[in-house]
Amino acid sequence: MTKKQKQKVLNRILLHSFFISFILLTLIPILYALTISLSGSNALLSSDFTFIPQDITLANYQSLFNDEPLILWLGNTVILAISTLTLALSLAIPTAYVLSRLRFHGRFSIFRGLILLNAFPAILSMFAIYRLFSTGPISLINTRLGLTLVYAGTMVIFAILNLKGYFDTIPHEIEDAARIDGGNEWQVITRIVLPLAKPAMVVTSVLILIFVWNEYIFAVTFMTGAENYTLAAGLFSLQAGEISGSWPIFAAAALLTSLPILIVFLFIQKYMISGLTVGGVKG
Amino acid sequence: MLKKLTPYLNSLPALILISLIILFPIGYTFYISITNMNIFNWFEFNVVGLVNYERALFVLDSGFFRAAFITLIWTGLNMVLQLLIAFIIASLLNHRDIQLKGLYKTLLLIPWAIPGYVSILLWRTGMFNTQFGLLNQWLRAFNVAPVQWLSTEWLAFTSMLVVNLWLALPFMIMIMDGALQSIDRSYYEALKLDSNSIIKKARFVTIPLMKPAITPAVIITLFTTFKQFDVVYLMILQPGQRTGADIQTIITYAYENAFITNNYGYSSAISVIIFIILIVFVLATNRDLRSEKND
Amino acid sequence: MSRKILMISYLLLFTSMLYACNSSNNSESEFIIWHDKEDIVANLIDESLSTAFPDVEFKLVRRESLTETLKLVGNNPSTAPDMYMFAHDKVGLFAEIGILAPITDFISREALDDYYPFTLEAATYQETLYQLPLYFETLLFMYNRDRLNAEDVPQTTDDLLVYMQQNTDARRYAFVEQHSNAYYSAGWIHGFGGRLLDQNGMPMLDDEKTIEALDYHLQFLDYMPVGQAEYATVNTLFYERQANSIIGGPWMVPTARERGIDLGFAPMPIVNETGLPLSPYAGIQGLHVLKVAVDTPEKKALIQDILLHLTDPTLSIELALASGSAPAQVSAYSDPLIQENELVMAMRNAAENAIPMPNVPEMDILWVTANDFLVNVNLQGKDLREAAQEAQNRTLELIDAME
Repeated sequence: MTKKQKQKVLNRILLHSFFISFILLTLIPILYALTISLSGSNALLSSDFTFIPQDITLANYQSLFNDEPLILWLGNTVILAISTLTLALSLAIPTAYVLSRLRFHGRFSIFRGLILLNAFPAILSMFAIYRLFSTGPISLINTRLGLTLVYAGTMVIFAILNLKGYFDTIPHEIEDAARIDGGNEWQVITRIVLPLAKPAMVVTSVLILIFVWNEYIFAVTFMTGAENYTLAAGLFSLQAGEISGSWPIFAAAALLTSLPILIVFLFIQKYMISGLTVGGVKG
Repeated sequence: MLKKLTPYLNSLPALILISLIILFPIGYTFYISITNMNIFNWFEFNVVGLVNYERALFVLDSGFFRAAFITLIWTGLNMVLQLLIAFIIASLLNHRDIQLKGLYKTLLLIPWAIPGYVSILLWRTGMFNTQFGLLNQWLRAFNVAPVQWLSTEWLAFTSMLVVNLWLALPFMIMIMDGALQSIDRSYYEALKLDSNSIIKKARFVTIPLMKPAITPAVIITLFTTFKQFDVVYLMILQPGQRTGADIQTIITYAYENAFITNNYGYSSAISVIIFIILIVFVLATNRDLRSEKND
Repeated sequence: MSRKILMISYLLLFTSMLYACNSSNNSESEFIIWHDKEDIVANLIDESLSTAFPDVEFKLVRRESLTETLKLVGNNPSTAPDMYMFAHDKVGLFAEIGILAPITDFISREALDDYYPFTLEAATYQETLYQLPLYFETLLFMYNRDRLNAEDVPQTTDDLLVYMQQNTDARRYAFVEQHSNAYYSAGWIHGFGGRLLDQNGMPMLDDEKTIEALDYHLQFLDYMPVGQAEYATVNTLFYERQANSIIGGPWMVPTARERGIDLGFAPMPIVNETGLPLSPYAGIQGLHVLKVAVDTPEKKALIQDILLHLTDPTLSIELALASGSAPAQVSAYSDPLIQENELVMAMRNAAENAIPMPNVPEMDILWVTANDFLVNVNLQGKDLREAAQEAQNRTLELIDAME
């Protein structure tokens, strides 16, 4: 083994041990939830907690599927997530692009305004939006459109800022070259800019997805009836309080809810690598 | 002519939506703040002028300033730790000798995939509970006296800091990782001739090049941390479940002193005041926003 | 530039608007009841009403954050329910907001003769009745029979203190309660003749009786878990047999029995000073009618019929048996199933001393300020009188801010 190879092996051992111990540390609360969700008794707390429950049972997961409209909630969430994602991105990309590339009057005011608007405490927004949605010609309360608009409106600021920041790092020369080759703006954006900005696109999309996935306050207030709930709203309705609710079922639901997100995480890893070095200035 | 309008036409749809969902509530809240909308005039309220603001200023007492101080420390510590830890982890994830990067990253993101309030309840009851919490069970196993994690100011603050980091780090790691991807490796190669120091590399190449890509995320996180309500409220302030630690942030303080009155005119006035304070705070701390040309 | 992107984004905006207009407006024949209860309670109500009124389609909708949502939609005919089921303590708030229809608009006072007077009083705000009670619940003194014999159950609070001093050690608590929660602490304050709020909605946090009660109660804290004494901790201590007795709600009973605890119910200990027992708050659960539901004479007749149907104790009995609470109608107690049920009977006996939660809007503030007060005194060791004065002033300020 050369010195370089030895160094490489050592580095790998160090990296593996760091990540394994760090991840185990962060996963303790999750493992705790997992154990509770697999245990038979309705307890969050117990004096003799072990990570392997004494009586392992899947009953809590079964009862979720049998007694709660989990699949319906999943469907609602997916529809909302996709429509929010589409709406937010299709509004954010052109805005971010012009903010990043074009010099126009009011550019900085828009940019700064967007950031500052985010500072408003959301507690009262709901009340105003409720008024807005229920006074229009068509009531948007209890519709998916209403919720989509709220979610997209909340997330589009972040999407614009984040994409703009990333677009800024992409050298203009690449686009100019494409223009000289006869590409129109549409082609420049879809074929050059967006592929180069893949990591930012992915991060932005994931953030929007997670926001929709985990948001429950608007969902429980704007939607009536369990059949219209999202997963997070449904989860909230299973909430284990003092009087009602079961901790094991709540924990099981929490873990199941996060599972699709984790699958998405795994799936998108390969898209997280930027096209910059591959198709960028050098090529 | 059309070319001049292009940027506006492109950003118009987004701006319309933002006006509806973000700007309108702010305007409406301001409107409510000058009315007498309370439970006695719930649906038929009138404009009464600045009366609510006069009264709202009473909330700005010593308790409020203490909360403001705590909020500043809370935000500052959280931001520093988040940026530092996320940067280290993201850098290690992008180490050239890394294996299983995708798996590690996915596992690191798990806390993010669980709704925040569920996580907070899990931490509060599962980890920090004095009688049965995992931490104290472990302490007992080593014959150490159990600790009241959430009952004294310092411990409670640290515990909440840990929980908030746990909740927020996945996002920051993901952003940093994405930003690191945007850095062309050739920059490092150019530098390698002179120096191999990691710190130099970070200082002269990585950080300056990452900055534009992470700034929006950092600003958003800054706001989120500043406005953080759930962590503090659910951990130590729930009515009937308070733990004894005397910690309030601006938002929880406003909540306990304005929102429980069911007087929307009054609490709207407080919201507007907090909004202004937040803007001042951000403008004061963020040079990028003050100086015009930030690119 | 890039007109295509523009077109697409506008197009998407419109199509998404079209797709999502799946508004599910309440149809005319449906009768919507919001509630915050367990499924079994909702199902029993649904069954009873559907059998009695086969032409009407009843929809019992469990609503999270029910009161917050009602504040938003209470006067909106297309989104508000027809009735909602909740405890009585919010009637003042919703009566002031102006969304509740008085029960006596539909049925006469005579139809309510069978009810325990205190249930009707509890649901009356400014001389108007806003709730038709179904059942009530309060806190109970429960103990583990394996640890504590019936004849050894402390009869007075002094006895309780002695019992705690003698039986609390590193491994076991003699008695636990959520001592820094106003809902639980109210029982002690009442036992000393005090109140959180007097009849006129005036807070009494700095009242001598309140101070006396909390001062006396402080010595009990040495023998109870401090720091986190919320339900998760306290109830688990009892379930895990690490606490011999507890003051808790009927909702604890199923879990305790499931864990094999031989549960005993005892009368609340008597305060030696006053001769009054600890008297916790009682909550009366029942149905409220929304003003916007009464839009046609037919609807008014239907609501009248529904309310009259519910004055019959049959449903109250079923609900009480299912949820471990006590029916609101006196005649329900001649039912043998009720008489045989130890829990229901213990509940009714406890309710003789229980004090209904105040239903005035001021109570929303008291819940927060009284809890802060308790934390300051019990957990932070602040001077009782100073803390009381401070809490009282803050409460008054906040009540002042309601208008």
